[in-house]
Amino acid sequence: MQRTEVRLGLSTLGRRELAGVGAAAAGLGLLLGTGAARGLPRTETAAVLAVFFASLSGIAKRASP
Amino acid sequence: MRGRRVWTIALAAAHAVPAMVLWGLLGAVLAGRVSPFAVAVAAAVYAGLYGAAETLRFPVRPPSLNWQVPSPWVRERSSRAKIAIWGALLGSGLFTRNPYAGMWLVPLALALVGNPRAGALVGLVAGGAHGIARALGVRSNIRARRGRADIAFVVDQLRWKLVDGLALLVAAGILIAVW
Repeated sequence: MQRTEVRLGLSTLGRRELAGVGAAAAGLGLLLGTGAARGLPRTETAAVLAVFFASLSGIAKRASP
Repeated sequence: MRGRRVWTIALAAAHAVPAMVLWGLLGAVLAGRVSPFAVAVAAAVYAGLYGAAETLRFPVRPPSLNWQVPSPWVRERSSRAKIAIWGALLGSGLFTRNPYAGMWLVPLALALVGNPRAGALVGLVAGGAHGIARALGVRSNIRARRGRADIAFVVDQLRWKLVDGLALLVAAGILIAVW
């Protein structure tokens, strides 16, 4: 029998705790976007989002069996 | 050692170059064409809903093609030809199974870039980043698969979905605040 060790981390949390973490993440986004009440430049923000999610989905696909 | 480095570079180039071309074209086509406010609302709603679903582990599947490279296309081909075919077809991440909702925020974000020239540039960078990350993942999978159970990949995917969901919620907050 093969022994596999995995790190679960946040995956062990229940839905209520995860909802709290998710709300904190959205709040962080609002704070980042507000950028000390001046706001971030739109084109640069869109560019960062596009490159970030393209990279993240590329990296995360390594978890495809 | 040198052979392995050359193979890694070839794998990265095979995935990144077609992805750069495709995403660059998409960026040029999408950027600055539709009302930014409407796209931002759609992107914020998409990021919020799928971010919440992935974070809370609701069984919602993101938009995805289930297409895979047909085995006759790669059967009995040299390893170089296989890398070229897989890289060209899978490097962009558009034409195959995609378990992460964050992927589809990329075209929405490209549509929010101010003008087609900037959109093409951002698309090039995004495609290169995706293709290289995908190629490095393929390389790491080939190494990790030796002695690793498939269940470990499934657990990894759950963890990446959580990361993707949280990133989407951050993005939803940013989109609401900036637009």
